[in-house]
Parts: sequence; structure tokens; C-alpha cells
Amino acid sequence: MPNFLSIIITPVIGAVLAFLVTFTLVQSMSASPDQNPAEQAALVYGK
Amino acid sequence: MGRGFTRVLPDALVAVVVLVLTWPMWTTAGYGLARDMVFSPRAPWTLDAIGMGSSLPRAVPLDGVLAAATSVVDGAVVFRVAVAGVLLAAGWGAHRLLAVVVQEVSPAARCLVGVAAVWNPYVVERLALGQWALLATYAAMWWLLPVVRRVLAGERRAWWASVCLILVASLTPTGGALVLMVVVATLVVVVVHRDSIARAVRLLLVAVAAQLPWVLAGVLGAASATSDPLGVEVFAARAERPGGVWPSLLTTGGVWSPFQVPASLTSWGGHALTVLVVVVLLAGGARMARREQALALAAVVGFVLAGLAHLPGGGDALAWAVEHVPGSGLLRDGQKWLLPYVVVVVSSAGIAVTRAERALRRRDSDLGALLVGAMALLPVVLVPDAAGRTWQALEPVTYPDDLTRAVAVLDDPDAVGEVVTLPWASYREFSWGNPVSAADPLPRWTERPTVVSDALLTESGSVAGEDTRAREVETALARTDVPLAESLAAADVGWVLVYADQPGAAELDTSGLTPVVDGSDVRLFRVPGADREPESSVDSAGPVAVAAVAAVDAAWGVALLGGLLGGLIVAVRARRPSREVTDQ
Repeated sequence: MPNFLSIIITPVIGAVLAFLVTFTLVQSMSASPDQNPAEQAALVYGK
Repeated sequence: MGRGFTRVLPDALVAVVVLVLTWPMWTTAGYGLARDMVFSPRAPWTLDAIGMGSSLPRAVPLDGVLAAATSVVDGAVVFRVAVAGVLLAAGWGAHRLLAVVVQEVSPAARCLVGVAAVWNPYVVERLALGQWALLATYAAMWWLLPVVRRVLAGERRAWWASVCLILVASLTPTGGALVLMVVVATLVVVVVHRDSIARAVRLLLVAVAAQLPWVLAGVLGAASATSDPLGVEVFAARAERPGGVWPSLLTTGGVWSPFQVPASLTSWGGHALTVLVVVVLLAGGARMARREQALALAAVVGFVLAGLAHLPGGGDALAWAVEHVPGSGLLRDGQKWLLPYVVVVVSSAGIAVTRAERALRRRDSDLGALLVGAMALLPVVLVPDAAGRTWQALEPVTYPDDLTRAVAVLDDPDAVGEVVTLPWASYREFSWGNPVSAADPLPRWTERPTVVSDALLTESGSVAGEDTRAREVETALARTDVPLAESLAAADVGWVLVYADQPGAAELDTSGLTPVVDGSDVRLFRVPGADREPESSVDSAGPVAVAAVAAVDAAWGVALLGGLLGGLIVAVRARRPSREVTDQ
């Protein structure tokens, strides 16, 4: 791959990745606990 | 920059993605304890660790490997190395396999395959379920396929790596069955082409020998080798979104439990992924199937097995097999059999992207490279909340001091008798743990024989376990005609460990029991009158049987280390004369 392509692609990938990582981190931290309509009061395997 | 940079870019991207998926492991101290995953400071060398306890050898030889590893370094380190290691190995192996399958593969396609190999529904859901050892099989599969190719081509040096990878893939019975499936498929393909049959048979013999630790323990051990047929219904693959179970399986998801499924897969993200996987298979599946015929055959078989419970008569056939055929319980968790199919889908994505890139470059080379480069992150875009699921399971836990003290008392050489954990439950949500259910850490920590409930309480009912000793203790606990202390003493239970934070713990009748550790999180009691060691497999199966299993385990471990060392030496020597031989 020519060098100039690497120079173009790298910041694009880096920027998108940085955004996604930040988005994922924020979303994960603010995620609500598991919600399942069929959830029972008793602790079930896998929950 | 230039070639050197693009060479390391796929590996670096995989490392970043793995870092995101496992973030809590690196920011919080402690041990992995969530759902099926249990890491303790020091895993014990017990009869259960070699599958000769009273329960089925579900984690054999994994428990022995963990006991060996944690006798060298602390379990907290092993936890991080193991989980991150299997994910990194999967991503790094995936784009290298693509380079073997496709000539002149671009860095962008390698990036996509590396990311997709780690960030996909199968890996995320299994990791969220705590089944990192199954992912060790998945990781090994990426590296094993090119090695098998070299073995069949008559390259003798490749045997070291093949032995090592088959053993790593066989850390659990399920993993072993999966690698056997691929090796058998290899033999079938070789027989059809009438080529290298002797080498394929030798490979099969290695794969069969790799299963001896759990097979032998299953045959000689005390636990029932058949299981509760209710498990077939409970652990069958499940539709994650409207449209039935097959689209979910198509996108490598469909795990039986809804709690591990990222929310994005239950809506538009899942549907978009379904369309994308179909396109990918149409564009790259045929090429992949031609190049890796054995893998493709195993993928078809695995896909059918994954959805078998949903085929007409499939559920009944599985339930009959699980109830009557020893070892068939392995089949009841359907979605895990997708493993070879996941490898096919991810590799096909790489082939499809390579084809797209070549077509686009004919029109506009810059645009082609940019579009394909951006596609490397498509797996993350489609399932952006994957890390939310893995973080729940990978949040490390700090064990309470009470539990550490209790283990120290139980591990005293003068202590006698089994320990039972109460309240009687197989999975608990500990107040000092993370907010998901977790298996009991005690059997994976203390050297003392431990009896825990092995019945799995699910939304569809309670799936009975196979541990005969657990049944006896359960019967003793159910007695209402005598105090708990008397019924446990009559059942030869020497110790009772109570998780004080659990529902029902405060109501337990501990009168007559002698408190030894009285903490706010954990309480340990001695059962008066129970002063003899319980009957073990040494008594029931005989010392010769136990010694035979231990010897097989030792040979397994030596073969693993030998294969690892031999493979490394061969790899280093191969790199010396020319770096170009990499990936050949």
C-alpha cells in the first residue's frame, strides 16, 4: 500500500475508533441492569 | 511508517478492541468471578480437579491446568492473562489465517477480520457467560487450521504446533469435542481426495488422545454420565430478535440465556447483521469453503447441531440422547457448536472485503482503500454495546477476608471431613461480588473436598445435576425431623460454610454447630461428631483408577509443554533465515 494511503487511512480509522471507544465506554457505564420481562424474583442461572 | 506500520496495524487494532472488551480487568484489582468463570488466588489440586470427584468432569483438564498455573503465579494474574490471551490469540490468528487463504490480502481486510474475530456475538455472549475456556478452543482453531494444512503437506516440524494447539483447544470436554469434529472432518475430506490419509489418521489419534483426561474420568468417576433432559429445552439456542432462532444463529448469536445478549442485537443492529452475514457468505463463503473444506464441513455440522432442538423431532431426539447416552449432555447447550461456523463467517468477511476492495480500486484506488479501511470497524458499529455485556462478567471481585480465613482453616492439614456451602444453591449473587450470578468459588479454592448444589435454577425450571454426593447432602438438608447439625453429621459432612449475605442465610438453623469463623460475609462451622474423611473415588473406583487418571493428566500436561516448547523453537528457527516464511 502506498505511504500516502496509510497516512490518510490511519487518522480516519483512529478518529472513528476513538469515537466508538468513547461512545462504548460511556454507554456501558450508564447501562441499566439486565431487564427481562420473564425475570423471576429468584436468582436464575445465567443472570 | 509504510509497510512496517501496515504490518502491525491489524495486531494493534485487535489489541485495542480486546482492551475495550476487557476494560474492567485492567482498572480494578481482584479475581474473575461471574457466571461460569471462577478464578481464586490458588486453584486446588483435588480429585475434582482431575474429574475424579463426585461431579462430572466438566472442567477437565482445565481445572488441573489452573491448579498448575496458580501454583506458580497468583490467580488474579492468571485470570487476566487467560482471558486477554485467548481474545488476542483469536484476533491475531484470524487475520493470519486470512493471509493464508487469500493471496495479497490488504491490511484493511486483515484489520476487519481481526476485529470481527473478537467483536462478534458468539465471542461476546460466551465471554459474558464466563466461558473463556471455550474461547480458548476458538482461538486455537484459527492457528490450528494452517498448521493442519502443513501437517497434511508432510511438514514434520508442524507436528509440534499441531499437538500444542489441539491440547489447548481441548481444555474442556466441549472444546475437545469441537476440535475432534474438525479433525474428523479433515479425515473425511482427505479420504474423499485420497490424499495424506495416514497423516490425517495420525492427527485424529492425537486429537483422540487429547480427550483422554475427561473421557477416562467420566468413565471411571462416580457421577452419572447422563443428564436431566430438561436441559435440552432450557439450553437450546434462542431467538434474540423477532424472526426466529435461525437468523440469530446465522449471525453467530443465539445463546440460551437472554442476559448475555447485547441490546443492539435484539433490534435493528441484529437485522442489519443478518443481512450483512448473508452478503458476506455469498461473496466469500464459497472461496472459504473451497480452501478450508474440513472447516466448512464442521461448520455445517455445527450449525445443524446448534439448531437441532428447533428442528422437527430434534428436541425429542436430543432429550432421549441426553437422558440415555453417556456424555450426550454436551449437546444440550446448542449455540456453542457454532464455533467452526464463526470461523467461516469471519474469514468469509475478509474474503468479501478483499474482493470489494479490488473492484473499487479499479475505479478509484483512494476511495477503495478508504471505504474498506472504514469497514474494519463495522463489527463494532453494528454491536456498539458489546462491551456492556462483557464488562459485567469481567469486573474483578475482591474476596472477603472471612472467606480467605475460612479457606485457611479448611486447608489445615489436621482438618477432617467435607465442607458444604449454604444456603443450598449452585449460583449466587454475592453482595461483595459484581451484580451477576456466580458459581461458588470455594470448590475452586480450598483443597478440602467440597459439596455444592449442582442443580441449575432457570426460568424454565430446575435442571437436575449429576453429582451423587450432592444428592445425598441435599436429602440430609431436607430432613426436618432432626436439627441441621445432626443430619449433616449423619451424612458425614464435617464443615458448613454459610454465605451470610444470601437470602435464607439468616434463617438457617446453626444450633449445635461449632462456629470457627464468624464474619459478616462468611461463617464457617465445624459439625460436631463428623470426624472421618468421606468416601472418595480412591475408595469407590480404587487407587489404581485414580492413579491412571492422574498419570494421563500428567502426560497431557507434559505433551502440552513439549508441544509449546517445540513449536516455539521451530517458529524461531523458521524466522531466522527469512522473515518471508511467516504465514506460509
